[in-house]
Amino acid sequence: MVAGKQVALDGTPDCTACKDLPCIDCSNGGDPEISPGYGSEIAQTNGTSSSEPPSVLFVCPNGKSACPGGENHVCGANRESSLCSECIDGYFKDVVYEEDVLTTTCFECGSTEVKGSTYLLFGLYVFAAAAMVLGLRHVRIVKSANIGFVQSGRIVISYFQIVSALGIVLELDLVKLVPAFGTILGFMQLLFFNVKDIAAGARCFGWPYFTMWFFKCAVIPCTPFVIILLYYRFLTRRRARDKKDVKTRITWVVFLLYPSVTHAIFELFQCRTLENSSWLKSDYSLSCESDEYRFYFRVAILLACLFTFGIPIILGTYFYLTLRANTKRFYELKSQQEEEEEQSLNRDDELTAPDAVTYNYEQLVGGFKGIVQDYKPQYFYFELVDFLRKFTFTAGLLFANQGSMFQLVTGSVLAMIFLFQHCVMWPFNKSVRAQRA
Amino acid sequence: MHNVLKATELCCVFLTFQVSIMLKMSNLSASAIGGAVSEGGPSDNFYDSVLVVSLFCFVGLFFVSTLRALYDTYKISKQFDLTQDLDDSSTGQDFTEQMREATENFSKYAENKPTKEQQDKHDKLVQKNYEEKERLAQVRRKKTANKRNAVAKERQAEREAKSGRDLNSQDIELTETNDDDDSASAFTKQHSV
Repeated sequence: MVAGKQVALDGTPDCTACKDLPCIDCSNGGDPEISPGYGSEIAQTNGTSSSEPPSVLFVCPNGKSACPGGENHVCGANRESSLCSECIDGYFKDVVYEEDVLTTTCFECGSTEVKGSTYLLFGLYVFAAAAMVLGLRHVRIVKSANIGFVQSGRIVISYFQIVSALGIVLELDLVKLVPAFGTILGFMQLLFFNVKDIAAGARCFGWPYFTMWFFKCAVIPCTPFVIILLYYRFLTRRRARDKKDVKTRITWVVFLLYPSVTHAIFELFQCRTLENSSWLKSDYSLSCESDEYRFYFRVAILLACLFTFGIPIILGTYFYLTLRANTKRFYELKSQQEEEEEQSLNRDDELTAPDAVTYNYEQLVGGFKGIVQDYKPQYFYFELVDFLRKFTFTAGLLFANQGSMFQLVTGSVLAMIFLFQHCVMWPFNKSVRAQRA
Repeated sequence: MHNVLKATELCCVFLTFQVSIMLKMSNLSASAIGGAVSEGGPSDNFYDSVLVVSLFCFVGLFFVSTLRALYDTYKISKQFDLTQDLDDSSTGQDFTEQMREATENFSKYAENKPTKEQQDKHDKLVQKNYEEKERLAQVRRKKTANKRNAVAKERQAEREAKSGRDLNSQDIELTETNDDDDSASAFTKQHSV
């Protein structure tokens, strides 16, 4: 949706203050009325008329149902607060599409469906986290047979991770074009832990916005990590060989959570200026100038540094240092072999790789099965490029004037660049050696 | 296969953006909000041009990726002699079985095909490693054999020395026993007389 257009509404009968703009309806010839889809920052509860007309109007971010307009200038059903953006008590807000535009609507908290779906989603999340830890323990049985299937699954999940976030990032109803796509998208969201869905219904439990935000950005993502680490902490006493799989499990969790958690973290950086004050776009009842917001803003920066940027940077640094060390080690082993020293008799790490890159790849595959073995040895780092792509489309584009044509064109050009890069590199590899590893 | 799948995924993301642009443009033209946007932003013609150019680029990239996949397959099939296994009827295998094996070999080869230089280098290294291992194993065997012989000789010497001592003591015992025998035989002789 386009940025708010300020309009002076002084109540003059001839509507001269806004005659070229669609926010005021002067068709009845009398007092000007506010057109549907426009609202004021003055807080107005459903059914309560304002004593005087608002001086400034904005494009309502929640559509015509939230801001029905009219002479009395009241909010729509179950709405209140600035620009009628909040739900009254007993209702919670969730994303819907109205006339091809992303808006929100208020659902009743008491309904069985809402509570049921919240519990179901949270239950599925816990189940998936448990399956990730316990079920994948037996992955050795199937890994050699289904490694191709796993690779394909990762690619398909990546697509749905990006596309499901794109609708919100671009503020467009992509589902309307292909109705069946919505069903598939809804199902796929369950598979990759869309924290937004899980947290949406949690507002009915009376949690403030910032608590819910912290829950979905920090508590939910940390749960699988803690479960995995605790599980393997106890496992090490019984099965030391399973310790090797910890990195693989963690990379899988990161792969599944990265787009939705990154998007949720960056949601807090989105403010909108209405006249002289700034308001949080995801909840217009919260001022971006309050102390509470400033505190959580710092928390968001910390989480972004730890999760969004921290994980790729740590992984990239680790890859770089490992590549350097392995290259050095390779040439040492090679020179030793060339000298035909007899001491090499009892060496465990006999050199079989033809070059340093392959040697490095073979050393890395053991520790990072989930993110290295899919690629050719020279492109072992390609998962980092995929992280960058996911960040760009799920969070980076939020800063490119959200909802504008500029944002869409920027995204389109970036998508083209990533496609071009893939065509040049052609990075995937399904080698027999990788399957054995 | 996964490269093609990933390229398809990237194409789909790109097409999603194209569809979004079209959707946005239709929204803007249908909605009165468009008036507000057209005040400052670029004109619709500009976005039309962007859409057309990007679609052309996309089609070009799509063809490039398809051609690349086809070229890889062609290059591999040229180097790999597919008819080799099929002509060999001496193995007594069923034709279908041979065909299946050939296809499997072909896909394995296609998925992990090294360059000729890499292959030569690798073969040379493997051969060198093998020869080195053989030589060192021989040295080790020889050393072990020598050591075993030395130990055997030592034990033999010990046994001989021990058996020498035992023989001496046996001689003494035998002498003593003979004396007893002599006295016994004298006693018998005396009584028999």
